[in-house]
Amino acid sequence: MVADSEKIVLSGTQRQLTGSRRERLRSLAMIGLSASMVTSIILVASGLFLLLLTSSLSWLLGHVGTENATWSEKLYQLIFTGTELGYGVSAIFPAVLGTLALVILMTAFVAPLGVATALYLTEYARPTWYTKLIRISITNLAGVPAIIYGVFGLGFFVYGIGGQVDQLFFGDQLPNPTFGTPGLLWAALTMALLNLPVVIVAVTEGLDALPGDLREASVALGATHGETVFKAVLPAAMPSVFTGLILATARAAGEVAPLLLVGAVKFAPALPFSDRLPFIELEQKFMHVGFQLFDAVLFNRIGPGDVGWIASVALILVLLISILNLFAIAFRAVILGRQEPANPF
Amino acid sequence: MTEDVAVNEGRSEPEEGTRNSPAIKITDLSLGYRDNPEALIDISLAIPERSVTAIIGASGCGKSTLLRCLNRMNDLIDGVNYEGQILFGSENILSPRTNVTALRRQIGMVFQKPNPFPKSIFENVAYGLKLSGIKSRRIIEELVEQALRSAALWDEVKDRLDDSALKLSQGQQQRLVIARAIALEPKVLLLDEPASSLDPISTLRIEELIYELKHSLTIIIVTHNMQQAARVSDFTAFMNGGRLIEFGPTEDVFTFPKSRETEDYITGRYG
Amino acid sequence: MLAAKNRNLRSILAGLIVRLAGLAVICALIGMFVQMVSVAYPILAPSTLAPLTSSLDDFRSGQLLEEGYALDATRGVSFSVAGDWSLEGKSGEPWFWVNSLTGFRIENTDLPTRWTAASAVGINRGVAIANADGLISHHHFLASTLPGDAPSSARAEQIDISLSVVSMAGHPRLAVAAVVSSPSTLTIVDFRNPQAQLTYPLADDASGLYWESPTKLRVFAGSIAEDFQFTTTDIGGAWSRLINPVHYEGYSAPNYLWLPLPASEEAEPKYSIAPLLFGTLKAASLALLIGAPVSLGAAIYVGFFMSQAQRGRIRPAIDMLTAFPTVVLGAIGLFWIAPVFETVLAALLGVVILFPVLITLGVFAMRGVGLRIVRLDALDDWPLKLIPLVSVVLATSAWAGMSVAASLPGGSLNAYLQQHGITIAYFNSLLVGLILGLAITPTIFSVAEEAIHSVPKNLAAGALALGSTPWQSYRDIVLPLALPGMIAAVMIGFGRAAGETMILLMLSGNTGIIDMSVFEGLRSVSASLALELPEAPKNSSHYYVLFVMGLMLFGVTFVVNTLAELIKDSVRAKTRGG
Ligand SMILES: Nc1ncnc2c1ncn2[C@@H]1O[C@H](COP(=O)(O)OP(=O)(O)O)[C@@H](O)[C@H]1O
Ligand SMILES: [Mg+2]
Repeated sequence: MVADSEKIVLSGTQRQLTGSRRERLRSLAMIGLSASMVTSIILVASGLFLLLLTSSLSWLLGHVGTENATWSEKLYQLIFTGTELGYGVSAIFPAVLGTLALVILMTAFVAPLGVATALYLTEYARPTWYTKLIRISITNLAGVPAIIYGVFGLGFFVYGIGGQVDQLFFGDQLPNPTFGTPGLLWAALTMALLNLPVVIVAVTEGLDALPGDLREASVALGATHGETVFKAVLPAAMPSVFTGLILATARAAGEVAPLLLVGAVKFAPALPFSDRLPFIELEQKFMHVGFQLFDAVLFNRIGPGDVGWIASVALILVLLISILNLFAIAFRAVILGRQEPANPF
Repeated sequence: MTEDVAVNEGRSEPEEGTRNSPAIKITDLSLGYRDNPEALIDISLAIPERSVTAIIGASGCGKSTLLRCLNRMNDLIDGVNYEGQILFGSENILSPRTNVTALRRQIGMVFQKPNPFPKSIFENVAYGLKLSGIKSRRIIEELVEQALRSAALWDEVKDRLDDSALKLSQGQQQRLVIARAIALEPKVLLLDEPASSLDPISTLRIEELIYELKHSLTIIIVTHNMQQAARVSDFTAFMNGGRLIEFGPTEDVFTFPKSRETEDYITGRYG
Repeated sequence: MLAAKNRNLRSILAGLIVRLAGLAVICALIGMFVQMVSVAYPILAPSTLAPLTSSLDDFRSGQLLEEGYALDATRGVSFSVAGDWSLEGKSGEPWFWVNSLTGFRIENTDLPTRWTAASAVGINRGVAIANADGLISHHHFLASTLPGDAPSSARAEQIDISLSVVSMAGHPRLAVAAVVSSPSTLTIVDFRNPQAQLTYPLADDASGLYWESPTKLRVFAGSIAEDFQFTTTDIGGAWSRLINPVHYEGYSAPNYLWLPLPASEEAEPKYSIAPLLFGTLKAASLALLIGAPVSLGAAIYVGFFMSQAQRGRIRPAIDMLTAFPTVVLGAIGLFWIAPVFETVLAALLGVVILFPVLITLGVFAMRGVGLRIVRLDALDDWPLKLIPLVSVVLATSAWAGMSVAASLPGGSLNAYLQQHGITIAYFNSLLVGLILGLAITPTIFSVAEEAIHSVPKNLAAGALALGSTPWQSYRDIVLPLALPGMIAAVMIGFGRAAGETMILLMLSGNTGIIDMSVFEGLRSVSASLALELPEAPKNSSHYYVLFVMGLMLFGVTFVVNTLAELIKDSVRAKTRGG
């Protein structure tokens, strides 16, 4: 750009440019205000993160709470032997394992069903008004509150199916319920239902974004419809499948509300794993990081020193979910990278 | 046919253009995009007043880029870098101190794809007038009519000024956009392939319009179409690879191109 | 040839499986709604009365009279009604309050003196009194606050069955009475739902009746007894009781109360869902008030003024906040905000009032120094450039708010409000709104930004080419097109706030009251579901009502989201046209 010092006043217009300066100032102010909103979001988000971080670190490194414990001892206790801290809260490790069990089981349900539904909607069903309706409904179901899925899960899975299963197979143990009570399986199914719309939307979006000639090219090479779908279309849409699944995983790890109804308890009698097939105890109650945080916060008497413990657990949860999200973003970038950037002219 | 007359007159007038003092004087203009650092290279050009200047050249040679420099529309694009000088009157358009909003009222622009606002026909033309601070409804109505008449659109739309502009045909939309620009009585009008998305009849009407308008303002038109350049312009600039290869009266450029590249391009198109 | 056939078969099989799975999922999602409706339905069903096929011959009516119900009007009755007080009466004579400790007798002038049957009703010891014309009135009483005073009548309801009442038995648990009248008819009157009377013809000499259990009614005629099955819910099919104010027993006026698990056996469960709907609305509105301006402002900047490249970096970052676990936000609110809420409130007020002014001034001051709209793409780093300014402005305005609060008469915001009769509850609506606002900001941002960004850029370019300022091109050209999408974004944010559970559970105080004050707590539908559903016995009225609320929340969010989606769709079509 030319660095000239001459004062430039464009004059001689036929029209009076009244209000022009005021408009320019207003433009500056409004842009400044809207930019400051972005800044505020950044500041508040990082402020909250720093709050958790400093609180957690000052507990780990300082002398609040347990006396004479080094940070490594405290960390060890936090993760493995929580109860010894005397906070009446249990360790993180089994909760992380419980969360993992939930996530794995949920993924096992949601991945095949979500992908199949998306394939059905985009590749098999002819586009009619009702497939459009179904698509809109599924998008909207992604916005239905999580607690509603919990309510449904309790009424349908736990009391409905669980009750039936108990009557058919565990009659000798009634009235003590085996499956007719909240447990890992029902929690995973509820989470799967909760996340199905998320996965379906992500995968259909990915499938829609594929170039149309991909299918034609495959068919032109003599592939059957099934081969086209499974060998050409689906592999090309894999990034979106992963995006959807990771979003689902993040949600399963962070959404606590349905678990209040269908599954998690603070002190699970045992880890939901066993040495016998299928290695997961489906009817067991289990522990969950998010639930543990809620439980510790709401139902335990927690002293001021324990705020550090809360911050640490919160931080672990936030980091867990952030990492999952980062993966989803990376995959989404791959998908979006295919699209042409828009030119304003 | 009147078109023929117009075309002939357009060709026969280049000398008149040379008499004109430059409306815009470009000196050593270079421009780089983020992923194309040499979009324009050392361009120097004086565009005569009250005439039609055509910019021709192969696709991607920088015609639109050059045009957008003249009213700083490149400012909308990320990572643009430019240096050089573009004098408009006595002011440097490229100066960071330039009052861009005022500049753009004097150097109007029409894009390749018609972009009427999703408002009524009347509002489309009135919008620029309102921006420049005219409040009186009566004056605005008068100026809107005047602009629509100048753009040869008045007779077609006078009964449905409140209809959405999006209901107009592509050709009408493009003339509406021109009306919108000339309502501000700019000194210069930049047209970036204004007819490339239009049918031949609409194209012809735009060309007629250009001929009408050049009596009151300076027109710079980018075009892909050799015949069009030959028909409507008084001067022609030929660009290639971001450089200005040749500039002169249209007649000269088309009949005795000085440069080999120009000749190849023109004959290539003709042949 | 064989291979080709195999391939075809596999293709068809795969197609079949995919179709089946797809349809199954779609059916499951529809089935989910149907299932919830079917679970919730019984609460809306009317009560029923049906004869049971069993009879007793050796029935002696004298035994029954000693049970305490259905007493002879001429011999007089006595009901223990409230505390030490009981109510004594004889047809044709006034009713008397009798104190069992002191022996005081005080005349009651409210109750009708001419009657043919009287009975205690429900666990709340209300009294139903019926006369020969078929008028049945239901009374209940408020214990007096003064120890020597008799209870006062709190409510009297009349139901006219237009049949001469012979005998009457009050339901042991609910405000329901069974009536034998002449000509021989059995009528169930429900004081909770006066319009719904159940009748059944009886043998001619039917003379008395009593409740064997809350669901079983026994009517006798001479030495023959006939049994009836009575099924009802806690609201007796009167679902207006869920929404309208109800005059509950023990209260002096109709009221909205959510007390499904009353503290004492003697109280009736109260199922007004109005306070919960109100709480949900209140929390969501406050959250929008806080979240919407920030998120829409940021969306305008990122969606319109920011460059593609920079947008590609900042959008995913804010998107990521959408998945920020709300349980963590709840914990932050509980541990770091609630204890210092008074200070936070003062600071917040300062920010709300001063922030726009100070930022505007700051931006003007920075004009030429760092901020200048030379080129639109140079706007890119404004959010970063503004970090010092925004930090200073936030700190200054928060400090200003706090110091103004400290200089108020009383020395603090709390004390000042107290002087004006306002107390800030520890868990209050404003605290909920603040944290909930943080939670929904990324959601609103995400949808609104999408809407703004999807407006074709060449329209804004057209306005700029006419000499509009960047803000004018946004306001006049882009905003009208993006506005529906922005409204949709706010609606989606509202849906999200209305369904959020953890923050409400942890910060709202869960007090089911209807109170416009933002300094009072609230109880939301979502929190009620989370707290009560695990405790509510399966197939109890409480369980059904919770499902009704779940359905309402489901329906509202689904409809709001659908509307939002339709709005976005129509705009998409419109901008394509441009
Ligand atoms: N918005 C942009 N960003 C980056 N490069 C661009 C942009 N617009 C144009 N270019 C590049 O600049 C060169 C000139 O483009 P342009 O002026 O549009 O050519 P013409 O109008 O002559 O076809 C081309 O190589 C093009 O790829
Ligand atoms: Mg071009």
